[in-house]
Amino acid sequence: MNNWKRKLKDYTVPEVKREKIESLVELCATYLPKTIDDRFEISKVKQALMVTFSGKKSWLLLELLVSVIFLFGIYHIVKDQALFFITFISSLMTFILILSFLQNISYGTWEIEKTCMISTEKVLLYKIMIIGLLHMVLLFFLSLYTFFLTPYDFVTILCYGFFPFFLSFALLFHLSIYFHSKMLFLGIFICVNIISFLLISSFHAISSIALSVAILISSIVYFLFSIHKYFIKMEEEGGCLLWN
Amino acid sequence: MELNLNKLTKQYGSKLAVDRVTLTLQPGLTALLGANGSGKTTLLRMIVDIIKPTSGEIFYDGKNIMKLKEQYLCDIGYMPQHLGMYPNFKVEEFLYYMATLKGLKKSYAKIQIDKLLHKVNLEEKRHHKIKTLSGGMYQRLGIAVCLLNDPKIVILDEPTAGLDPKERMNFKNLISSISQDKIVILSTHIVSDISEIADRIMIMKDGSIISYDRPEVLLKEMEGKVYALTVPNDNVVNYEKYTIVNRKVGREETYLHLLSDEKIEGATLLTPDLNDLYLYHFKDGEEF
Ligand SMILES: Nc1ncnc2c1ncn2[C@@H]1O[C@H](COP(=O)(O)OP(=O)(O)OP(=O)(O)O)[C@@H](O)[C@H]1O
Ligand SMILES: [Mg+2]
Repeated sequence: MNNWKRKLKDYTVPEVKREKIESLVELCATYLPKTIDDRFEISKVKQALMVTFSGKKSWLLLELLVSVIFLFGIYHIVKDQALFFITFISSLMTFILILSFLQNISYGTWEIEKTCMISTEKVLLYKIMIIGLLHMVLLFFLSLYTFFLTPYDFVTILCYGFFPFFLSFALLFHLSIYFHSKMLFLGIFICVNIISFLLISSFHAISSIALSVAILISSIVYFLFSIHKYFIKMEEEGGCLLWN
Repeated sequence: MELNLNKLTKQYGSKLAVDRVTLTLQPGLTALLGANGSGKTTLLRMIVDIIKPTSGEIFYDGKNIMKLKEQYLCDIGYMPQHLGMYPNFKVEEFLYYMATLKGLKKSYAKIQIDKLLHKVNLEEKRHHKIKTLSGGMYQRLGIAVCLLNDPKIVILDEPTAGLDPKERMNFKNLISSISQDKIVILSTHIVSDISEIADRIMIMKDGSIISYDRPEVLLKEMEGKVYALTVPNDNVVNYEKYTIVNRKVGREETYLHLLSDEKIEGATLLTPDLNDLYLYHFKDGEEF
């Protein structure tokens, strides 16, 4: 019995090295799921949808209204001027679309928005992706509709429909890097309408569909380029958009 | 939990707005005092990562915030000096909108919004448009937005501007109740807003932090520099060289409350308060 007691007295707990525990904890941490917190939404798709459709949705209504006007318009009034009409409607839709983006930035809310997990840039990106896609699908169906009602071929109609869409987007994002003004917005809307119609119809007059398609593609490239440029600028300057 | 700033600098053209600020922030309420244009807003904006520093880094628990990105942002709550909120949104709608941007789940957002609207006393304004709120209510909504994600780092840039005395008191209680386990930085000109509740005080001047310590320590340094005396009216000119905190002109005599590094004959010593401290540092004719 005494022997036992003595043994127990002499026994010292082996010291565990601090670094060993720390490295073990770190190792465990790498196996834990990477989610930041269960308060936060993790699914990117859900996030994108939530952001796109939160806040004011009046633009959806406007877009629908414009489509309805288009459907009736092309059927009744301006059948023989369908191409001009589709150009006009296309840039009008872009106008509405951009208005929905601008709602975010026009009141100087960017300062709190930039500290959010989903920063202003991401909001813009999500919106461009989702709403832009919606828009393109809509435009595609409208073009299809026009195709059945008018004698023009489908590619021509697509060119007239999509060219102003990309051009006005691209111009707006590109120019707003350099100028901060509200008039720019309106100016671009009017100019794009005229420019795109003149451009496409002049190329069309040379009677080359290939040329029309080429300028459509170049407008898409320009669109991607200006958005990229705009995002870089936004990173640097914070909430800069048309005005703040 | 710790926030380290390392030689943080921001330069606008030739203007050095923030000049090599190095400090460590710990949980508790840190008050940031400074005159207009001393660089408070610029410093806070860099801490919440909405502007990039010209040079220097910020470390959150030893990790560079540039690398943490989203992980850092989900711990941040920020209330800017010039608070912008969409006037046509309803209060609740705006809170949900911000919750979405903060990446919160809808179920969690609902709980938080109910709790915070109660805390900032805006429950009955829930379904009103933001443009119908008064200035003080607007400010309180800003505080609610800032606390939505239950942040660990709370940055408030002059949050008390425009609040009435009662709301000021409510605000003080709210801030001191949340600041135990959070890093709270509050910038202000109004010294009485942070007296009694600040754990540390940081004084900023021309872009640098000139002192950063517990209020007791800072006040201790001020001891022996605050004087009170009553002099005949025509004798006041002799004391204009000192910083006069307060003067009360009577019919024949004037009561003066002064700050001075050297001893003033015939004056009684006063116990310094934070107001004296602020004026001591910004005595050179600077507005506040
Ligand atoms: N975007 C900017 N461009 C150029 N200079 C700037 C910019 N922002 C701030 N400054 C300058 O940096 C300095 C610090 O400004 P800051 O806004 O940080 O001061 P502050 O301490 O917040 O002042 P206040 O108490 O008035 O809010 C000022 O001199 C200001 O003129
Ligand atoms: Mg400021």
